[in-house]
Amino acid sequence: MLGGCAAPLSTLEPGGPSARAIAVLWWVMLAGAAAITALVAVLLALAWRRRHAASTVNAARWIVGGGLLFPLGVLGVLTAAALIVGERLLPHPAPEVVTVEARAHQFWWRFTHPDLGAGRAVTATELHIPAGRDVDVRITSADVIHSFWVPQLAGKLDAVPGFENVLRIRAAAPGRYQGRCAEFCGVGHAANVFTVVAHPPEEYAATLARLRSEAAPWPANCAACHADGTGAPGLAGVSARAWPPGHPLHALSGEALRAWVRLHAGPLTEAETEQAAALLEGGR
Amino acid sequence: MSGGRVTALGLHKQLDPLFRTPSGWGRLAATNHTDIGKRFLVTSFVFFLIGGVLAMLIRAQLATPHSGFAGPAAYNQFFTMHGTVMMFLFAIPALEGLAIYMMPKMLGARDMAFPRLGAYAYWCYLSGGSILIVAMLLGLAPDTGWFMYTPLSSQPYSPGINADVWLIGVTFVEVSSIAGAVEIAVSILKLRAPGMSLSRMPLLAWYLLVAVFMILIGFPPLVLGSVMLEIERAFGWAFFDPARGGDSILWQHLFWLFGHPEVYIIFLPAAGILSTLIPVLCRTTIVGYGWVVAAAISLGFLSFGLWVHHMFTTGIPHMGLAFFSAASTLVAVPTAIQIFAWLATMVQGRPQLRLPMLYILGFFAIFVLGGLSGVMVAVVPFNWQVHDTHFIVAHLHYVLVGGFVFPLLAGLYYWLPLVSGRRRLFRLGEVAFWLNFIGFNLTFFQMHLTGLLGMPRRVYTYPAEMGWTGLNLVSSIGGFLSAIGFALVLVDVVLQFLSGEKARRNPWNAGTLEWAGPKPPPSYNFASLPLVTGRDPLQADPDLAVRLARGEGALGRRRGERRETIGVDMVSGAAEQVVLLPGPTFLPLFAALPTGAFFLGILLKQYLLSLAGVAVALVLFLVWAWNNGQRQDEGAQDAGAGLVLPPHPEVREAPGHWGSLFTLTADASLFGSLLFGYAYLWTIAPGWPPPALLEPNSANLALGLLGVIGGWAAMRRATLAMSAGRTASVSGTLLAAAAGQIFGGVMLALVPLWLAPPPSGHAYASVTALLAAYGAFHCAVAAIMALFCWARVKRGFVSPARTLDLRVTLHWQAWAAFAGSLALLVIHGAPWVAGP
Repeated sequence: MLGGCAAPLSTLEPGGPSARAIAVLWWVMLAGAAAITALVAVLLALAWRRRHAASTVNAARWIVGGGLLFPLGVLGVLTAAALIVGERLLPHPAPEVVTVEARAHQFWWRFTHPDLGAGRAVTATELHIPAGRDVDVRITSADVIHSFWVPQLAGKLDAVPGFENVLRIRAAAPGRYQGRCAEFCGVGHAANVFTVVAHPPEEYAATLARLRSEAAPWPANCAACHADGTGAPGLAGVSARAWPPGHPLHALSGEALRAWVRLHAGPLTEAETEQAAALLEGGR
Repeated sequence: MSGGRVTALGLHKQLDPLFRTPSGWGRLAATNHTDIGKRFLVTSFVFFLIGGVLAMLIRAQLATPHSGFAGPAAYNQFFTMHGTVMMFLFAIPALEGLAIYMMPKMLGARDMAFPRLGAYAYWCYLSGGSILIVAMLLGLAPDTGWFMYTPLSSQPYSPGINADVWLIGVTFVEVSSIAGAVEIAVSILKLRAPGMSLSRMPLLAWYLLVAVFMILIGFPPLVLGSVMLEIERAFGWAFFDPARGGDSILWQHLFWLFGHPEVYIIFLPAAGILSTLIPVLCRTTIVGYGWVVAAAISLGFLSFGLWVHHMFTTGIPHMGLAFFSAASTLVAVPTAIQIFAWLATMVQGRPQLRLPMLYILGFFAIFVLGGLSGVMVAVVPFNWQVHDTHFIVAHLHYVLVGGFVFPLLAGLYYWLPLVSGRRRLFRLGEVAFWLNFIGFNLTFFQMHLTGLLGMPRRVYTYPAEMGWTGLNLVSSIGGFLSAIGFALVLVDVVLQFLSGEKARRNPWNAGTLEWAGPKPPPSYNFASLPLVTGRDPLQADPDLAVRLARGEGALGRRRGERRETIGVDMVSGAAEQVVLLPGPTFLPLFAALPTGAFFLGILLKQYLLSLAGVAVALVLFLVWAWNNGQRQDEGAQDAGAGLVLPPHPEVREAPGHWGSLFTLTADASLFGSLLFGYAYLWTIAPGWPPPALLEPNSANLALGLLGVIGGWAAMRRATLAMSAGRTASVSGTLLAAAAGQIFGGVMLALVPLWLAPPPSGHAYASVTALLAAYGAFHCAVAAIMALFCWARVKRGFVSPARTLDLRVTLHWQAWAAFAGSLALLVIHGAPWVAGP
């Protein structure tokens, strides 16, 4: 649905209520800022028009009016509005909230679905949520500080080792939403991207069940390193995936992709290389 | 004092050899503020050019998607060094250079209060900056961002020397900044022309005063954070490691406790330049002098209450964020007061469109936008979206370039005729301005949009399908236009020095004292010091320059080898003392060398070298202090212009008295940050309570308290006895003061060595050991100072009239007693309260 989007990380094309509220805040502030800029420009122009002999200005009127009362009034209203908007975006307790866990790594994200109980689905680089439902993302980090950010759905929240932060997101419609790490996390920061896939609610459970039971035929060498808990991203769902822009695999195919596989996987037979490359390319 | 009248030329021939910096190798011994100030300014401009080249590398890389120009490892060094160089090696030293060069000339003094300290600060700055630049040339530059967030900058994730280079180099430069701040604060408060009360002080002095006090309070938290991180990296202690009871967010608090005030430290002197230039260029006086001063002071206070607005996305509770959000927007009020005072001044006067005014108008255009986007990012929900995007890059450059670089360039063109004695030949400056102004806006205006479209900061590459491609290309083109503009400014300035015509004495018809002398200024600034009766002494008396040159003011004479200036009462400006200034000496350079050896030893893990550096530096500092003072009482003497004044060693409020107190202010800020860190770790960090607490030991506590408080009591007794003329008992009491502190220091040192768990196990043990080390270090300092006083008394430098040595030592003894006691109480009390 968003394949044709001009700017997939744009905060100005909201895909959910949280991002929409912030976008409205932006447009209102932009209008106010433009008006204040115009006011200062007019006052400056006034100074240059008065070429006649020097006069004394009423210091109190300028400074108390322009410097004290005017900003206090504007800022008072703005701060109050921001507080109300911010309060509404918080993860307050509510019925029917879906909980997912996001654990950041250098340089990928691991997502789990604790609501599913034992054998819960674990995915890397792709987070599956139901559309039209509130989702609480419980965010933490396995190593350095990262930040979970899906601009079309909500603002960002940091992944801090030793702590858990909770971000409320909601996708208004099914679709793919680009996300990425927003806190500088080292040499792989630029490529630390992920996708949030919002499913129609009725398909959500089925999708996760499929992910959980998937037994894609990966070469043993790949599966060994990418088993959950090894520190490398898991392979569940990879064969059906479109890699997000910015991900190292996004633009790779054919011989370049096979070269990438050889570089990362160590000793593989030619058939295994072919097999892994086909799986990595699968979703495209 | 020689009898009879002297001519202006005769007076010049007397004073110039006394104040002039020697030639040849003797230049390295310079302490004269004109030379030191120029060195700070020129060196900071060189670093600005280096930072600018790094910016060009960044823009070259981001000009197109999938750029193959640099990989992430190199790019991470580019942006880390760009931020570090601009903030630490350009902005702060430039403002200190401005203060050191300009303050004595504006305030009517012949030099700064502590000329040797200024020279030492310069050598530390040059050395620390060089460490960073040399490391960059070797490919070992820091690469974890100028904010150095842990755990990315911690040992497991940055095992190389790069992060150590940042911690060591920046701390070295900060030592310089704090030393400079002490010197500037005392000079502004004490070394003014007689009659220049606080309310007659030029606005630039007010602004610089606020800025340097902010340095004294704002820099120590980062010094502490850097010390903690370096100890964690080098010795495996745990302050920021969440697996061992540390907390990576503590680093962010310490960093931004420094980092946010830093922004205002940079902005305030620039605002001071604007407040000085706007009335002169509009041929009027400032509207609302008192309001402007109040705004500057309140900005100073408010800026310490906003650091959390850099941390809105770290997961701090929303109500806490709301407080910092409100405080952040509140900062707009004093800023608006100044903007409206400047606008009103322009409306009141008749503005002239000369080159500095172009930069002032450029400032208005840029800074107002930066201020407005600043209010936007202070709004919490909006911040959640744009934090760490290019919107912030745009905002901060609008604030820092608009709020610092443009005013600085206005000031550069305004004061260049003063420094060079020449005026511009060509209209290169106007061309450069338009290149700078257009180039800047082309780089950063649409970058707000780049950020809103989701482009994060600190990515070395981006895909073509994100909608950022055209915007980035325009930014890169704008960046290169700016680069040409700055190059033209450089050419323009060099041409003015080489070939400009001689400037008029007061080319802008300014009222402040820096224009009341020959151009370029002579080594002694004023042949005699003016008696000031208003805010614009030069406007009140157009012949002032001539009368001062003829020696009709105060101190219009030469007395032997004495370099003299007048010290005043801080508030009223009434003349109070003749301050005797030291002449050129190699001591600052020789003291900076072992200081550098200390830092290099830590960087290269050659700890014996560090120890040797400390020992040599200590000896040199004692020699430095020993050279002060006098061995006879002289009493009040004729200082010319009807003034009869005592020399500063015989006055209670000598410059050294305040220098000591201001240094302790910075020290107290560091100690406060350490206590904050202790409490923060205990209450917020994960992995607490620790596996083992210290067993509270009442003997260690009681004996430690006895030592530090007893030492201070003995010092107080010695000081009072000397003042009262009971000199016989003083020497013995001083030895008792030293002994008390040594005893207290040993008790504190026993805490990590014997009582507490090993510091590498858990953050609790680490922070306990650091607290004890802080206390023990200050006990050692206080003990050495007491022993120094003992020797000074023996050699006749101290008398009932000359008690400065004792009183300064008493400050440090009192601080050792206070901080040592508090450390002991916390160390033993907290586990006792929390224990089973």
